[in-house]
Amino acid sequence: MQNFKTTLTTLSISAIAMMAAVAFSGAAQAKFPDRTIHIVVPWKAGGGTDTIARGFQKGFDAAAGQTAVIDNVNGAKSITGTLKVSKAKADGYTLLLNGSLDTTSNLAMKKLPYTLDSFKYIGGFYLTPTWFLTNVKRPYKDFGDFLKAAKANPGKLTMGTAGSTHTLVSHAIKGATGLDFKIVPFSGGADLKKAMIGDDIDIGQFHAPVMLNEIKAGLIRPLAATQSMQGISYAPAKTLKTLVEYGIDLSLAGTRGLMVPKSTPDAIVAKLEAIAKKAALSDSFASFGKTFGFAPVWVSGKDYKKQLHDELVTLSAIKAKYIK
Amino acid sequence: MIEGLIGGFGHLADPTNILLILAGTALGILVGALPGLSSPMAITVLLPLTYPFEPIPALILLMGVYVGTKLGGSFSAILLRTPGTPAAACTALDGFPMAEKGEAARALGLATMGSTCGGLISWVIAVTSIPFLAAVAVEAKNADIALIGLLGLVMVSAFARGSMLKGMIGVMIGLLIASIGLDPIDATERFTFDIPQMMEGIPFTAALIGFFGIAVVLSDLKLVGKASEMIEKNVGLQLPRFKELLQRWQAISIGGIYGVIIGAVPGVGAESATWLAYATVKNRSKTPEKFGTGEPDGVLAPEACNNATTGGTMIPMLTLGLPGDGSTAVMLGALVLHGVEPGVLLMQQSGDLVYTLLASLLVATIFMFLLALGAIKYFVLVLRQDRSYLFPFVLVLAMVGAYAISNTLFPVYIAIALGVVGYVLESRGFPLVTVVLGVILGPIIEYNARIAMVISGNDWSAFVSTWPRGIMMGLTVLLVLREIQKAFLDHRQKR
Repeated sequence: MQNFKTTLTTLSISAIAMMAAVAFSGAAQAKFPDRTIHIVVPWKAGGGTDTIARGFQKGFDAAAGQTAVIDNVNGAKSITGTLKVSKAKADGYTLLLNGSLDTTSNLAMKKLPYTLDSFKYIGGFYLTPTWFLTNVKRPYKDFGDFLKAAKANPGKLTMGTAGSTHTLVSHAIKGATGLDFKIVPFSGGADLKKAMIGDDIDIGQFHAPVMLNEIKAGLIRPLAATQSMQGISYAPAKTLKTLVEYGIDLSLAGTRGLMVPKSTPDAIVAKLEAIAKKAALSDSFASFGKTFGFAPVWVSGKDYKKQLHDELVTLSAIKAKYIK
Repeated sequence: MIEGLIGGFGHLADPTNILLILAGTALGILVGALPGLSSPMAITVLLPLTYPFEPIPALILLMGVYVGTKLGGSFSAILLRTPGTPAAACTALDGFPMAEKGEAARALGLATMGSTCGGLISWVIAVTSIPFLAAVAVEAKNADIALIGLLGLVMVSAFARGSMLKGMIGVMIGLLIASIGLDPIDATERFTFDIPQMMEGIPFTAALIGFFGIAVVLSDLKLVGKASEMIEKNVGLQLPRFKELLQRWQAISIGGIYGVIIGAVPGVGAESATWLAYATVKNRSKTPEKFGTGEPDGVLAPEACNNATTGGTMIPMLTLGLPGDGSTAVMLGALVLHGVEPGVLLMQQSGDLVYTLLASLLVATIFMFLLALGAIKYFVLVLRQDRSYLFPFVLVLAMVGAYAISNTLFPVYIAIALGVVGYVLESRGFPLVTVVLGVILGPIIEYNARIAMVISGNDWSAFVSTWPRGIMMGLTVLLVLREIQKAFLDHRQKR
């Protein structure tokens, strides 16, 4: 009897081991990740996406049991870094971390050596709508005031943007309302921020919550957002009206997320998704979100993929319709 | 204000904090001295190491690096003609000729004193004129920045030793290189040949590494086999006498004041400010022909200037959350990661932190001086080595630096290609500094001028509509007319 029990135990252990081996298809993958993971951020160190990535990295390290390093592969509006990851070894050790709208607006604007199908999607973890801000010295109390003023002074008012997404959104607003105002394409968020504080332009478009501090200080007034602002930590901004409420049929909100080259094995993608989800919902990232202004979210790989494809359709339509 | 600063120094009295500033500054001098490695790069690499720290120790460590690199860059500029950082490129103009004349130690001493005095001047101005500098940062509109750039470019003709025509051609080549990439306003592709990486344009750091690192090695190959025997006599530190500094107070104060004010304007940076200071000092000098041949003022002015930008950049960073240059951009990111929101409320919400950072700027400047005193004699040893040992080292660092621009190989190819171009240009008598200045200032001028035009509704009067713009425009026109007149006079004399 004793003997039978031992045999049974041995058998069941080996069965479990075998099942485990089958499930993880190969010993090497079973241990994934067993070395440093490189997270490619396609922007300069110190920018918005880079800061969010570094806030996310702490939780990611803990969830993965490995150190992740951030590689800033900047250049060409994030195309350089995205291209690099699309060609990287598909072993799950090189990830791309970018905003969904940054990826899709580049693809909408021109033909590139990669497409949305060059990647597999791990998931999204930080959702930020775009908001429209004005210096309190300007007379606009809400977005309707701006639209009225633009109608009364065709070609005179200015809307500052930083990046292709915001330029596309500006064209969409111009097209949808039939109004004429000037689009001022600043080279980056810091430049546009300076123009806002210096009262150089009527309206500036930013990824929320950029300039939240200035809003709290009473220098800047938010006028509208591209989507619901419920996720923001600053209560008065939660109820900011959306473009749809002003009769402009456009709803967009970029989500920072992770992607890997398309030939990455599904088992590894699933593991990365589990790690990223844990990191997104970790305490350390939640406390980062508190300082930065927005609470983290979790968007599954499947939904994230769909979001990017939908965005590309919307942005390509804007380009085809409103930009010659 | 004063109480705040005293509190700030109080925080620094903690031995750990003092050690962190010291370590940061030492690291900064070393990183700065290594060609290709720059301050934003070092700060980015250090950033993850500071995660477990409290915000104050983390930020003061980065502050030390930031200050140290400004001086370190000039060491290699003086000793090897290869500036360690973009901001030190101007120092090579007179620093290297001094080293060639056997005055390397004196040049290093001047650079150290210049940097320290510039740093001190800028610190005093920064803490006493916070509202003024914050206003400069906000009131310098795109039109003003474009005019500062244009003025700098016109002043370049002053650097062109020998043929002014060749100097102008150099500037044009620089502007041509700068025009590669996406047009900043309409996003039209210019000379990109469908290569995605070309869309961003030629990264100016890669151009700098090519022109000042690789091209310099190529043209100095003739020095291989000759350890610089001429400098044997003057090894060790040679600080300028106090009396000499007093005589040269103009170069130091021009450098210092330019540095603080231009440093406070976001998007211009130390690499442009030094040239303006140099050109101003040269134009005011009674003996402008000595510049470029080892004139002490030519070392003092740019060195005072690049360290003075540290005080200038602090003010918009701490009061408005606006980065003045690449390093402060990373430091702003570091603040967020340490749970501090930068922006207009920072002074109210974390006044403690702001004053401690300002205090640490002064402490780092003093440490920089003390460390340099000890380190110079080791740096001079570099020159005594055979160039066949030094050049491979410089080339490796240049490659690493180019790679680190975007963690891709593309800028490395650019740097090599421009290195060869630079070698050919230099051997034909085109001054490389003019090309590099075209590359640095071209995008600044184009972008700001075009944004200014969009905002003004294509009204050119925007460039003369305020009195500072009128003055800058007048100066630019005046300088051009003077150059033309000089060319006519020279021509007549020859006949």
